[in-house]
Amino acid sequence: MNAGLLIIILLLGLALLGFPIYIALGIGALAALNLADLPLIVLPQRMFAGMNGSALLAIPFFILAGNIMSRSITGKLIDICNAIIGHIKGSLSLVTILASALFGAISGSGVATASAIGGITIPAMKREGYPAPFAVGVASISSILGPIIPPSIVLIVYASITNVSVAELFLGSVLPGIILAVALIAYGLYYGHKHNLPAHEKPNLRKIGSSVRKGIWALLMPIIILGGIFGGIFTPTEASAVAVVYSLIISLFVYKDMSFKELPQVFVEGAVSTATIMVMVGLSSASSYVITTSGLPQQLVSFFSSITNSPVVILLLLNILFLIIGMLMEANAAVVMMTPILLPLLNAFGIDLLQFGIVMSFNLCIGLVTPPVGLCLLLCNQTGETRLSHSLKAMMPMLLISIIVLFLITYVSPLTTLLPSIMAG
Amino acid sequence: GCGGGGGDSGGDGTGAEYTWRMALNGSAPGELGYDMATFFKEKVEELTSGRVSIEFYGGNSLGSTTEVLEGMAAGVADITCESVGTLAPFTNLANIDIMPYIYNGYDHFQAVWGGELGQEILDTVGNDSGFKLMGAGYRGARIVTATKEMKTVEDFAGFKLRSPNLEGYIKVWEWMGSAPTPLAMGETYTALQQGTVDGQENSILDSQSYSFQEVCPYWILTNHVYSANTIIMDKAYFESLPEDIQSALEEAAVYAGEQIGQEVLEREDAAKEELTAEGVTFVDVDNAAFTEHFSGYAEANFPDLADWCNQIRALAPNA
Amino acid sequence: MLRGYSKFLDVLEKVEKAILAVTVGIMVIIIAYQVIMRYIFAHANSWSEELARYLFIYDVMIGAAIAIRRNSHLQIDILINLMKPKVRTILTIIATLAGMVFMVFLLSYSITLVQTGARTMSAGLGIPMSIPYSCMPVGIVLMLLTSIEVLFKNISALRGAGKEAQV
Ligand code: NA
Ligand code: NA
Repeated sequence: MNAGLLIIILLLGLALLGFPIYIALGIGALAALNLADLPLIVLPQRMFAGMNGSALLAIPFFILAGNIMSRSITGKLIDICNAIIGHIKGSLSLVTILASALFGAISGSGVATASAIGGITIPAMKREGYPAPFAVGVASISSILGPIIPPSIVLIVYASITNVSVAELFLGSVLPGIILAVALIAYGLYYGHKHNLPAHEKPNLRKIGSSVRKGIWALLMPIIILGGIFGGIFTPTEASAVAVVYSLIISLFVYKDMSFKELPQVFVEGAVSTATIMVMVGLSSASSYVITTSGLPQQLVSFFSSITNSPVVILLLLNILFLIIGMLMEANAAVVMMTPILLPLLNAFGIDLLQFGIVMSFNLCIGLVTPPVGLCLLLCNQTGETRLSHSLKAMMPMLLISIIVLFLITYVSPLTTLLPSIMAG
Repeated sequence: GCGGGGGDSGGDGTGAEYTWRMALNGSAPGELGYDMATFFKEKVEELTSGRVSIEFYGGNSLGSTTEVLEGMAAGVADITCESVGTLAPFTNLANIDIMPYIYNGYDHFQAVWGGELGQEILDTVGNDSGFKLMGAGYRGARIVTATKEMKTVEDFAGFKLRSPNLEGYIKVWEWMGSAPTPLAMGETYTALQQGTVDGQENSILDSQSYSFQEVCPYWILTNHVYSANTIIMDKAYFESLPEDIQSALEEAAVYAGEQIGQEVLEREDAAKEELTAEGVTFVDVDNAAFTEHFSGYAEANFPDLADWCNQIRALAPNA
Repeated sequence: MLRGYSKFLDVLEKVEKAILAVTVGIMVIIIAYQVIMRYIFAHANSWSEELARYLFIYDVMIGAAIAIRRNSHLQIDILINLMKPKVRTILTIIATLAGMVFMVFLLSYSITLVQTGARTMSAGLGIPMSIPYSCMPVGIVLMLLTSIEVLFKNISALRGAGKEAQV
């Protein structure tokens, strides 16, 4: 049996049986190295090397910065959005979308966005008489803006496997993020009018002014992080460390909602959640060694070439595949497992790795709200205390909107490549 | 180690006695290490009448250079083609490969590496690090591509330049008074565009392959480093091979080094024409002034290499 | 027996957490220092980023052990959630055992890696690679120690007939 095939079968089989993914990756690599008579030192060596990338250092830092900031700024972001668009019918759902997008420009994770924003706006929407399933649906779908709008941990993981520039991936996902946010807001407007959802009083400049003044430190953060990266001041890793320092200063000294005593705990939690992603990243590097030497990717390429020679068809097939994978798997795990297998195929079909990374990440982020494994949907559902089938039904139009945007960015490549290439002068 | 790798298999259908995995940086023809390896592979298979078969694993698919070298004794890869300088983690002497301003041109480079001194360097680096080094392939002198025109040593003061994250390269630019910025190669193009750095240094051919002409209108012919590619195997494994195979490998490596040197000269000429047509300005600098500026460099930074540097300088054709 | 072992792991985890808290803090400081040096003093160094990276990988290996205790490693649990608690516990035991087999192999070759690393110097700090590589055997031993606890907790849950495993 081909060693590459063995690894894939073991990986998928064991993962489906509920083995932790890192163990499935490890057992798969171990068995395949044995089968192919390859030296086992590859295992620890590649695992170490896979984790030894400077871009990966940004993962714990972005997680930390997001965790630290979420305490102080969530309420303030929501107040700002409320002051500006509170007079529109169904304003709270629009606030949820907008605040999630703003939060996404600070945090790199969907679950963090769902708990930070949805945790506050779902109960608020219910209090104002919004249908609970709609409240859960809008908060769930908004939370995927967290990892889609840069910074994004999924994109950092993808960058570490493919050597595509993190800065370019971040830049390329700005437009997709904005398009999705605008499309969701449009739906929110429509829904608010159709169901005659409540509005608040007219906006008043003084209220806007005071909420912006209170939240100004939070609003500055995306400017520092993304402006710093896109302006060429920091590398993404440096920007992430600056974000931690900035958020610590704001939380400890300006908003004073965190004490030094809490620091160790915050650091430890950031490190442990990073570790669960990183062991998989490391071990995927070991399995990609086996897959490469097995010749399987070439067979995959010739198989697909026998079906089609069109990148359009390949991208369609891959998008469907990822939507299915996204139902079952967490996004980072999926990127780690699939990217090494697909790289030779992408190269053979001349598919741009920058655009593909953004499309793949967008697709797998949709998986955060698709059952059965949809962490953000489940989380919001708990907050809203609704039946999953009801919130899923309420979310369905918004899910379809997300999938339409996905195909838009798949086939209209300037949406992902224009900004990076403008930067390229 | 585990006894020199899992290379000797006969049952793979090629009919070869030895089937070796060759780890390469480049993934396709056109990359110099890849092309030198191709010359080598064809010559070896010819000289051994097919007893040795070599399979390429490009694009670092067997691991990064350091991983491949580290795992070679265990059989992660059987053979590789890399610059002599990549052995620096194993022996300080390998830094001779990145010493600035010790050559004055291609002929000087060939005089060193085609002669006894070059062989002595290969043997000493190999013995110190546990590898067998064979042949030396010219890679083209390293130059600086920049967003502004630079001419003199003084122009380089405070110049922000991308350098590999290696002490040996950083020291060169600190000696120049520049501000070296270690960056991954993948981030360099963007960094140049955004002005995070004002230049980068590489050979003309490598710089062209990264399309730096799109962001750097000035290519400063500093020719600061002449580095050599070489064929590398695990030393113990090499010595366990029959003598006729050993000598075939050495002969093929020397042949590959000579062939690639000629190719590089031709390709550099063609590249200069293309790049000029694309609007690149090649800036000649006073190499004597730069060489003078670096006269005490080895003594100050790599004292144990100073003697080797002097021996190399002594072989300058017009000295 | 198991309770005593768990107490031992509790103490160990406190030490691990202290190490994580301190090293994460150091990582932030190192990278911030690097930014300041580069942009204010235009001075690059080759050690800071490398040091932060090696601390980071050490933290990953330690954090991975803590994550085993918390059962927070990523997994696909849809299929097993459909199964009876007893079958689920058995599968957890098998997965844990498989993980331990993998870790034992990984441990023995990590030790080889540390030995190999003794003759290689790191590019930035100029330290033997054995030092950063040591995070592999150290982390794997910690992971094995926590896996043993998970294993026995599940086995005793299996014995306590019908009751669901509480990991
Ligand atoms: Na984000
Ligand atoms: Na899902």
